[in-house]
Amino acid sequence: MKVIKVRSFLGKINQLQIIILLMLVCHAGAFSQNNSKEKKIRVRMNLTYQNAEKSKSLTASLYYIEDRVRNPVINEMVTFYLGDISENIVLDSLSTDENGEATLLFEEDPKFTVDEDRLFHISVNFNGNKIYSGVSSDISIKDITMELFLSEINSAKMISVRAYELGNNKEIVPVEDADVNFYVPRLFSNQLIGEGNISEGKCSIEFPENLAGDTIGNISLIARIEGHKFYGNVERQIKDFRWGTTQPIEEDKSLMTIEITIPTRALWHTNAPLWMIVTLIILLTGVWSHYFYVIFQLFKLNRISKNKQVHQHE
Amino acid sequence: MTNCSRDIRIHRILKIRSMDKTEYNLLSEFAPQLRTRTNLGKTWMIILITGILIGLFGLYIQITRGHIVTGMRDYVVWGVYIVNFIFFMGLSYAGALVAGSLHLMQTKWRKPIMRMAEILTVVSLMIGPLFILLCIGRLDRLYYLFIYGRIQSPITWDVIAISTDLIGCLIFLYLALIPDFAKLRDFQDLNVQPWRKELYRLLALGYQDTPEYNKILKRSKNIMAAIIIAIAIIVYSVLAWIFSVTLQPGWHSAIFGPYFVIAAVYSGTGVLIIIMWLYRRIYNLQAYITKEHFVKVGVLLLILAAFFGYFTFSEYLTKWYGSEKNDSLLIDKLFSEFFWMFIISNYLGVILPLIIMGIPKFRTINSITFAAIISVVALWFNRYLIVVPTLETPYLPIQDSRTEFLFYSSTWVEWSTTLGGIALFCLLFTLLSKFVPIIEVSGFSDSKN
Repeated sequence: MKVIKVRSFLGKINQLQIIILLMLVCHAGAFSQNNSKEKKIRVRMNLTYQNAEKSKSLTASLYYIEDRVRNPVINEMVTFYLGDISENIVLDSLSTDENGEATLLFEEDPKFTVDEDRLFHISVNFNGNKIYSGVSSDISIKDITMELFLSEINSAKMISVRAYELGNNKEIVPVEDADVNFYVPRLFSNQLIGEGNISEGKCSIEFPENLAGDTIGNISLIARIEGHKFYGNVERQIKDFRWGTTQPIEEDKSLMTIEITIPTRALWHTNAPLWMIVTLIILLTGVWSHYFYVIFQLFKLNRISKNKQVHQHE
Repeated sequence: MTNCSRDIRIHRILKIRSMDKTEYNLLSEFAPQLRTRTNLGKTWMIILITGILIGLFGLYIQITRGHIVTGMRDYVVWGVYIVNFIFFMGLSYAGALVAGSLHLMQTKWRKPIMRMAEILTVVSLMIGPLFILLCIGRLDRLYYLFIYGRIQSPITWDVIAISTDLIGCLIFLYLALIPDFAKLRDFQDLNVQPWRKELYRLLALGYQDTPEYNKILKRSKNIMAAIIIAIAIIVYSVLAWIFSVTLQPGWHSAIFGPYFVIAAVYSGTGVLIIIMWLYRRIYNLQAYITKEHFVKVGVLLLILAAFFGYFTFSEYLTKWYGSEKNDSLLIDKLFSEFFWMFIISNYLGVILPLIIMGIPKFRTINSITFAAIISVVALWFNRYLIVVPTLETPYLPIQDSRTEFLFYSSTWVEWSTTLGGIALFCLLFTLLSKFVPIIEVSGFSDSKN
C-alpha cells in the first residue's frame, strides 16, 4: 500500500517541478557563496567648499545609505591632497566627526597655484577598512572674493555685491553668471528677501521697505552664492544696520492687540469655544446618564436577588 | 481524526441538540477550556508570554535609550505605533458595531459569534491605547493631559472618547455575561478552583432565569447596544479628526471620519472571521459555527469591501484631479516608494474579498477566512500609507535638516513592541475565553432559541 502511495507521489513530480527544484538548489548555493564573502559597506563622499567672511574650508562628508537612511561614517581618517592623489602632495589627514565630516581649514588667502581657468584642484581619499569600502573624490575650486555693500540712491535703499576671481598674477577677472541670494537672519531661520544674478562681477537689488528690524530698527544681511560648481558656498554678511522698521516693546497697545487677535479656536487659547463645551457636555451627559442608569439596573438586579433569598429563608 | 469520525461526531452533536440537552453538555462544548488544560493550550500560552517578554525588552530599550531607537524623527513623528493604535481601535469599533447591531436587530444566527465580537471589542480597546503610550516621549508627563487638558485639543477628545468607550463596552460585555455567570455558578460539578466559583457567584449578581430578571437585563442590554454603536462611531471619528483637522497633504479631508469608520469595521470584521475560524477548529464548534455564519459575516465583509473601495477611490481621485503640489507629491510617492503596499492595500484588499464573496462558488469557510486575512493585512497597510507617506511630504518646507530625518524606517524596537502588543491581545482574548464560554450557553439552553 505504502509503495503505491510513494509511486503515485513520484509520478506527480514532472519534469518542470524537477527543473524548479534544481533552480532553487542552485539559487541557495549562490546565496551561500555570497554569504561566505565579507561584504563591505559601500561608502559615499560629498565635498563642499565653504568661502565665508574670514574662513575658507573644504568639508568631506563620508556616509553610507542603509534602508533609505543616510548614516555617517564616524572616526575614520581621510586624506586631503593638493591636485591629484598620484601627485602625493598631502595637505592634511583628518578624522571624521560624529556627523561623518572632516573639515580642512585653509588660510584666509591660500596661495595655491591655479591653472589657466583659475582653478585649483583638491582630492580627498578614504582608504577604507574591513567594514567600509574605500572611496575618493576630487573638487575643482575657484577662489573668489566677494564684497557686500549697502547704498542709498535717490532715497532707494540698494544692496550690492561685487565678486571677482584672482589669477596667478593677481589679475582681476569679474565673476560671470552666478546666482546670489540675500537673507535676513531671523529667530528660527533666515528670511529670503531677494535673489539676483552676478553679471560682470556685479549685482544689485533693492532692499525691501518695511522689513521688521529689532526694537531700534537694526537688521543684518547675508549674501550667499549657494552650491556653485566652482565657487562652492560663498557667504558675506553685514551686521546691525538701521534699515529695518522698529519694533517697540514699551507700547502696551501692541500687546493688547496680540491678545485680541488670537483666534478663539487656537490650541493655546485660554478658553474653548462655547459651542464645543456645549457639545461635549451634551454628549457626555447623554452617554454617562445611560451608563449610570444601567449600573443602577444592575444594583436593582442584585437587590431583587437578595430580597428573594431573605424571603426563601423566612 | 478522519472525516468519517468527525462527521459522526458532528452528527452526534446535532442529534443531542435536537433532544433535551443538558446545560452541562453545552458548557462542555462551548467552554472545554474551563475544565481541561491541553498541551496545545500550554504551548500557546508559552508562545504568547515569550512574545510579551520580547515586547517588554524592546520597551526597556526604548525607555532607557530614548525614542532615538525608533524610526520616528523630527518630520515623521508617527510610525508603526500609531498605525497599530488605529488598527486595534478599528477592531474594537467593528466588534461593537457587529455585537450591538446584531443584538438590536435580534438576528437569529447571532448567538455563536456574539461573544467573540464582544470580547474582541473590549480586548482591542485595551490594547490600542497602549501603542499611543509608546509614542509619547515623556510618559512621566502623561497626567498633564488630565490636569492641563484643553477641550479644544483633539488629543483631549481622544482621551475622553476612548475612556468612555472602554467603560461602555465593558458594561455591555458584562451584561451579556451575567446569565452565563449564573449558569457557571449553578453547575455543581464544574471542576474549577473554588475562587473562580466564588467569583462566578459574585459576578452573577444573583441572576435567575425569570421574566423579572430578564426584563431588567434585556432593557439594559438594549440601551448599551445602542450606546456602544453610537460611541464607537464617535470615538473612531474623533480619531479620524485628529488627522483631518491637521493641515497635511492626504489628511485634511472632510470624508476622513466616515472613511476611517468604514475601514475600521472592514478590518474588524476580517479579524472576527479569523477568530471564528480559529475557535471553530480548536474547540470543535463545527455544529454551532457553521458555513452559514461565515457566509453571513462574509457578506458583511463584501459590503464593507465595496464601501472601503469607494471611499478610497473618492479620496485619491479628488486629490489626483486637484493636482495641488503636495497632494501630487504624495500620490507620486505612493505609486513609487510605496507601490506594492499601495497595490496590496487598495487594490488586492478590495478586489480579492469582492471576488471571493461575490461568486457563490468561492464561498467556502476557508476561502472566506482567506479573504478576511487579506482584508486585515490590507487595512494595516492602509493605515501605514495614511500615516507615513504624508509625514514625509509636509506642506512646510524642510530646511537645515538631516536627510535621515526626512524618511521613516521602522526599527526592531518598534516591531518587538508591536509583537508584544499582538501577543498581549491574544493572551487577553485567550484568558477571557478561558474564563467564560466562548459561545453564550444561556442563549442556547433557552428553549426559545
